[in-house]
Amino acid sequence: MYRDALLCTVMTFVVAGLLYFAFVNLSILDPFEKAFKDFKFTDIFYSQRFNKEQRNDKIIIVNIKHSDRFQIAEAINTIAEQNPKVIGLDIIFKERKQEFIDSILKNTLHRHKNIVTAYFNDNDSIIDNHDYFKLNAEKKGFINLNLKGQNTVIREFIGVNGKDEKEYSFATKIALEADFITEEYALKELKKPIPINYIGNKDVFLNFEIEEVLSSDKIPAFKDAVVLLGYLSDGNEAYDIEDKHFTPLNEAWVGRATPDTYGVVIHANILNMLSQKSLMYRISVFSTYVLAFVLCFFSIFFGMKIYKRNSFVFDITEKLVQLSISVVFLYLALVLLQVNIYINVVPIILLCLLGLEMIDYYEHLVIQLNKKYGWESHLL
Amino acid sequence: MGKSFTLILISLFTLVANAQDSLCVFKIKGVALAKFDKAKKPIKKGDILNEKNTVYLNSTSNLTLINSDGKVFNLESTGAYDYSDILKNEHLENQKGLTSRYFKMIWKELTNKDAGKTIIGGVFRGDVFMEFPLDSARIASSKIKFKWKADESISEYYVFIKDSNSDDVHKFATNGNELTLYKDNPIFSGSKSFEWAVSTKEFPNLKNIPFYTFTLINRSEYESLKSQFDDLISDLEAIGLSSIEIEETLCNTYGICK
Repeated sequence: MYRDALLCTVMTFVVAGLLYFAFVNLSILDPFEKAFKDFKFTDIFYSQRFNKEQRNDKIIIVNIKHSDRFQIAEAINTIAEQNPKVIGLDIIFKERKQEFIDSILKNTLHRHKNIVTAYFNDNDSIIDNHDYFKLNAEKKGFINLNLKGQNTVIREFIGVNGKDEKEYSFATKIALEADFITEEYALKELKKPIPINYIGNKDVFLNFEIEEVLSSDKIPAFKDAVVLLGYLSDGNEAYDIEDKHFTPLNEAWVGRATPDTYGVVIHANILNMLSQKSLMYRISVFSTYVLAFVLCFFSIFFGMKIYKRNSFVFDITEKLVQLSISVVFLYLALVLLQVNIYINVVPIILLCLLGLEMIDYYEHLVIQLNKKYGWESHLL
Repeated sequence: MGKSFTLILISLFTLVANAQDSLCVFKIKGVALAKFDKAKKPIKKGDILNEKNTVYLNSTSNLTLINSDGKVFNLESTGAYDYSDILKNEHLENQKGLTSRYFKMIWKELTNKDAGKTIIGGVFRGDVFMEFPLDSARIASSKIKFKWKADESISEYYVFIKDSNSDDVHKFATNGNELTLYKDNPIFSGSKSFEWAVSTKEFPNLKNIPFYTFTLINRSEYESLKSQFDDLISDLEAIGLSSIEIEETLCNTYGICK
């Protein structure tokens, strides 16, 4: 029986591989691949808030709304007076607008030494603040959230880019400036894509509207905190999608929905992860497929045992077993996610389900082989 | 020797200072006060409270605080809370285990509980009938009178009263534009915070009709809220309004009703 289970497992992998290359790689069926890239079972973990409730008062977000540059400069000054560790500006002042107001903003940016600014890479060019606002030893980080192979859902980030000249992401640069991490740690751990360990949407971070900041003499929480200035809607949030992205926090974890999380909140989540050094350990693709092979083998082995004893019972229980396998494996993947281990459970579930389906086909195959070549099998 | 002693003292002081935890005001609804250096001051979001502070809360306010570990403390009832009292109010909701929440979700998916949601292709305009109590009103009366706009072409109105905490909805049908309920009605027994709406449809989609909120308060809370308008009350008295007229003004303008 072990030999049959092993051969059936191999057959399952071959068929799955053929199906993948024959169908998914056909350009006409490319939407399937894209659709599946946007779907991960493990999104349920964040979507249904299975993670433990957490709050953070050391990463504070200030909603700049559509305030003008003067108001932003005033807000930066007010915040800086409270001695925060770092002020992160998730804003790009791409062009010059009004001479006088711009000079005030420039003066503000130059005066405070703990400001981290943002830029982004657009193909081969860099889009950042106008030269007028640039500082001599500017601390800046890239705000690109899209990675190669990552569709619209922001699940992963890269902390460090580049080979000779290192570029740091916005959150990584802030984490470095705030002494949450060291440069050595960043270069060692953050060069490859890492799943973002979301703790929640904007409500889990202490956040203020820009008017609240401008009208307050003192906000004690700013002291020694990291303050991020970014956009968190200008009222009527439900209908506002400016700088709003899809993340696993979306309540609709499958199918179409509206974007759920503002860019600055994504940076805050990454920063929270870096501040706690709670990076996700990702199980490699090779290990995932080895595990899939082992689990597929045992699913087939026990399936064959039932099949051999009573094929009618097997046919009746097959769907139930497949459902149970999906539920249990997904549960185990979520348990692992809870302890910061990320595994792509989809191939494991699919191969186990396909393996059970393949038992019938394997039996037909061995019958034919037996007729032609006298192939022996326990299923005969 | 002297230098070393000073260094040890500074280190010990730093250690003691660091050992004292503090709480950050994360969210505040209504007005809450805290005693800072013997003086009571209103608390604002972002304030830091420590062992020296006492928090005073009335029934219309609630306060969410967090500590440096990200633990949440919720204060919802009237009273004075010192630091140790606050720590006893840790917010434990949503702390159920992954297993129970996961299998609950699987059960929901299997039983298809979310299926059949109404999807409409349109918007709602001008269907707010409610007139009194105002949105976000606080009512100290034992008799709650609901009033809404009347339309001659409509023969029957449906009043929906929803418990904000449990989402239990009670429906009343009436042919007029007023409905009076008493505070001892069982629908008001479980909570203090409610929402109400009026519709001309017997079975409207409750997610698509606007609701006004109201909170039931006691007399002392009413007096405390009223005291915040002392200056306005003096002005109204100066122009000759009686105490009943002043109370009506507070109710109709600020939603603080006796």
